[in-house]
Amino acid sequence: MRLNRIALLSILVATPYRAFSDAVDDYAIGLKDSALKTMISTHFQPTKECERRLIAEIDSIDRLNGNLITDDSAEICEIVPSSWMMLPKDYATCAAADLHNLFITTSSAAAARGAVPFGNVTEIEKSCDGWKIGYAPYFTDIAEFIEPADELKGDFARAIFYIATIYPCSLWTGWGNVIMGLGSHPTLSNYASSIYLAWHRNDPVDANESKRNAKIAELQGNANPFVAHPILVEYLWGDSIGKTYGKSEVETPVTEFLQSKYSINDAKIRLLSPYIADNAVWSYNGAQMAEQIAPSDLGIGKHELHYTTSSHKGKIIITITE
Amino acid sequence: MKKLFIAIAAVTLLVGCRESVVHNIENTMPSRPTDEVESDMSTRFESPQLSMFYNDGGILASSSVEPGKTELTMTDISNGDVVQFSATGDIKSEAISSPRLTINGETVKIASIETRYIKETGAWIKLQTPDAVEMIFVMSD
Repeated sequence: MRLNRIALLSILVATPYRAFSDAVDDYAIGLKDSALKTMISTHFQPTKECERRLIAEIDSIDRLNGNLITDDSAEICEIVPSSWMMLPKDYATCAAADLHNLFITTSSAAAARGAVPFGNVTEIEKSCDGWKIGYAPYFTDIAEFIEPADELKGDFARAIFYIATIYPCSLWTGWGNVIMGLGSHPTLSNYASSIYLAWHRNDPVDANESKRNAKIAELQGNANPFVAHPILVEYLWGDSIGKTYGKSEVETPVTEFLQSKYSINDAKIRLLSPYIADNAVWSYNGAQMAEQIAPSDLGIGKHELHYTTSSHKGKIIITITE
Repeated sequence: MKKLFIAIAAVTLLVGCRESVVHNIENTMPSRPTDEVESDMSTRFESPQLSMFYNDGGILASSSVEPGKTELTMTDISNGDVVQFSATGDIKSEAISSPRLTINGETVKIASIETRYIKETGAWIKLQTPDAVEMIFVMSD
């Protein structure tokens, strides 16, 4: 068992997860509120379809008690249950198979978890492998909730923040509407966000969660940005709502991104945008462009720039004035 | 508890996805003659809720180059507003299914869709929501 754990951790440690943190900075600076959310949902979508069973490669160790789960007792569990999702089917399938939304636990814990929402249980009905199942006040009524162990609360909260940001509110039904879906921004009910925000703050990202995030990114092509940059949570649900991201954290000026208007005297036009993949190849009048050029190279007037990536092509008009 | 489940059912049936339907806006396109709107092949998105005109500058117009897939996106780089039309199948072959429109990430319910001037150099699409709000999405190469 010890050898297996060491082998798994060695694989995870070898993954260069810091790059995803940098990508958040590249895209998020200068954005706030719905624009920040749009950026995240644009740039942090899964790019590869994965089979759900792949989560077993990451979570073969029971994250609750550190034991290796045998094949007989391991079960794939959803953080945001697929029974909360409805048409369109492509999104339901995608969200239900998103590795960030899955974890492996014991079959008894999975059975207890079911499709009950996460919450702070005040009236414990039963406990199972560290989980508390029971009831808690819900507005003027009470409802059944399940509460994970303290050391998992932040992990699950950040996974829920991710699902709420990546997938559209039209996905949700039943409890999904109650917990996830009644608003375009920040796409999580006030009731849920207040609980999960506290979980997020009290159980910050640790090395294992970062490594897990990197491993999932390697498999399905996207990281959970709220693990790579936990401070993002504050800008969408916490104390920094309405503030522009990145002014205090990173010194790169917003003007580094491609703008719509330039003066002929500006030093440069940088062909970098939070809305375009980094591997884009740019061209002007059919000639390939360097990553940055001087406005004087194009001259005063309107100019149409084109780009291509492996999956998209696009264009934009920029204006250069005196 | 029973009251809670009734409340959840009511939320599901009546509210659904609040942002998926455009509310409190005019049902017709803003102040342009129909002929002009329908003959204009310039890249743009027009709706009572949000409009973007590529020729004004600062609008990123992109499309997927993957076969069998339609994904047309316009993004205002000054404020992050983004509109995306997607569908299964290549719109240039006029054989598309499962059309989907999102405005700033939120799905807009589509009741009907009309496509015109579909050719190698672009697509002209008129969409209508269940409450008869019309929207025009045009992408020219």
